[in-house]
Amino acid sequence: MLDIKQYEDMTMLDLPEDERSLLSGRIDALRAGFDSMAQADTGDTQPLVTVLELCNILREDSSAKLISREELMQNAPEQQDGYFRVPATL
Amino acid sequence: MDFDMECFSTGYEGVEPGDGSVALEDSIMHKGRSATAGSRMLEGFISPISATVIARLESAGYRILGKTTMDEFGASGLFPGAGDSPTSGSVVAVEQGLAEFALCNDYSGSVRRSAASHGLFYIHPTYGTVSRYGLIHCVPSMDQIGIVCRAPDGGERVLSIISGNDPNDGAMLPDTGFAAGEGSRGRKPAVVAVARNAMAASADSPAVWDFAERFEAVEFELEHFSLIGAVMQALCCAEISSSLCRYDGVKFGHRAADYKDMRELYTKTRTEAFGVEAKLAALAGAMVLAQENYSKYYDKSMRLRRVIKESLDFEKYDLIALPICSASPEGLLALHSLPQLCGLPSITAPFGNGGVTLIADAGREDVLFAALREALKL
Repeated sequence: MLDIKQYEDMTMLDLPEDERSLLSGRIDALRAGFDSMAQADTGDTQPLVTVLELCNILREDSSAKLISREELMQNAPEQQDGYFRVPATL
Repeated sequence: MDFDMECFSTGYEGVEPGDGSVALEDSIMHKGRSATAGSRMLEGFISPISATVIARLESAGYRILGKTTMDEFGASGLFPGAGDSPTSGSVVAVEQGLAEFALCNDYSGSVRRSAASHGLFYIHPTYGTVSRYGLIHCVPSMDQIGIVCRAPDGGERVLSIISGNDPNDGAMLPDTGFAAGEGSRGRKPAVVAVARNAMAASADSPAVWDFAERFEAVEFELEHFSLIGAVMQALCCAEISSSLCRYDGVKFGHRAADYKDMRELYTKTRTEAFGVEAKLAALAGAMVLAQENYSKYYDKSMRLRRVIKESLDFEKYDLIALPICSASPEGLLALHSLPQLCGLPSITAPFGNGGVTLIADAGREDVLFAALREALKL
């Protein structure tokens, strides 16, 4: 069965063993489906990133206040003096 | 009237249900109200902004009834066959007459499938027609707010209100949107194409043929039909994996109680708060995007997406008709992925003893509504 620990590291997850076993099996099944795409010859077709295929339209470079600091901070799990509080990084 | 219905994650006090009221899937933000996208990660999150669709509906006199339940980030529909998902709260709210209609982002197709099986219609507009400003996004290349409604004419009215360019959404069509009444004035479909390979083993085949034969019915082969489910899963998982990166316990959402450093804060928070389907999508997306798989999975699925889109020829037919049910989980996902993969408008409708999904060329919602009027004798 697929070892998904590397993908846990990439996605910042640390699954308990029962969940790891369950999801390894399901990702294995998905991988079989992804592998089946190899059978299709796409020739020199270019990848389709977005269906709109519009070019960028840049707005005027002007400032606008969409939300206040208080509205922004109201959802912070922890804050101090109006800043997001996180563990020391140095 | 106060109410406490299971289909609502948040019902607004003092709002009268019934005609003129709108239910919003809990992924659509309404300023000052909670928005969870069905995830423990966003429990207690208060929306700092209102979605553009809300402002447009309120300007038109509609009242917002509340937020409906949904599966976590709408992802479970990507993995059919893994178990029964609860019926979308949006479908229940409309079916029970609490809301005249509901808005939701059904990128995985599970809401439209459920709507049709409950006798309701689901309108999926052309990608870029309805503003996604204020929508908690999951799959940006496919996210699009759609409408659950009891009848197509009601949905048509709502679409004319919520569609149209919005400078706050950077991926919109530049035109002015859809005008109600285009369905009656617009081109009536003459030729309806039925995908031969999509009909195999579907109990809806008689309903699809019954619909198509009210017009000139032609058959065609939908290219790479057997791979559409895999393409959809690869692209959606990749985009979901990226979209979920912002949930880290720092600026908003759930935060783990104990951690010793930033890495542990991120990891514990995400492991605790994401459900199984969100974790599955994130992990599968990381696999798709990993350096050793990027070319064979992600790049390949984007190339197949173009091949499938460019294989559709709306010069030869006006509409494509597909069944809504399939004997296999892969077939089910494939049937409900084509509009999102190709950015095309569709309506999933109850019809006969089953259901049918109608797909038109980009921007031709008028053809969809005209076809339903003709077939349903509205």
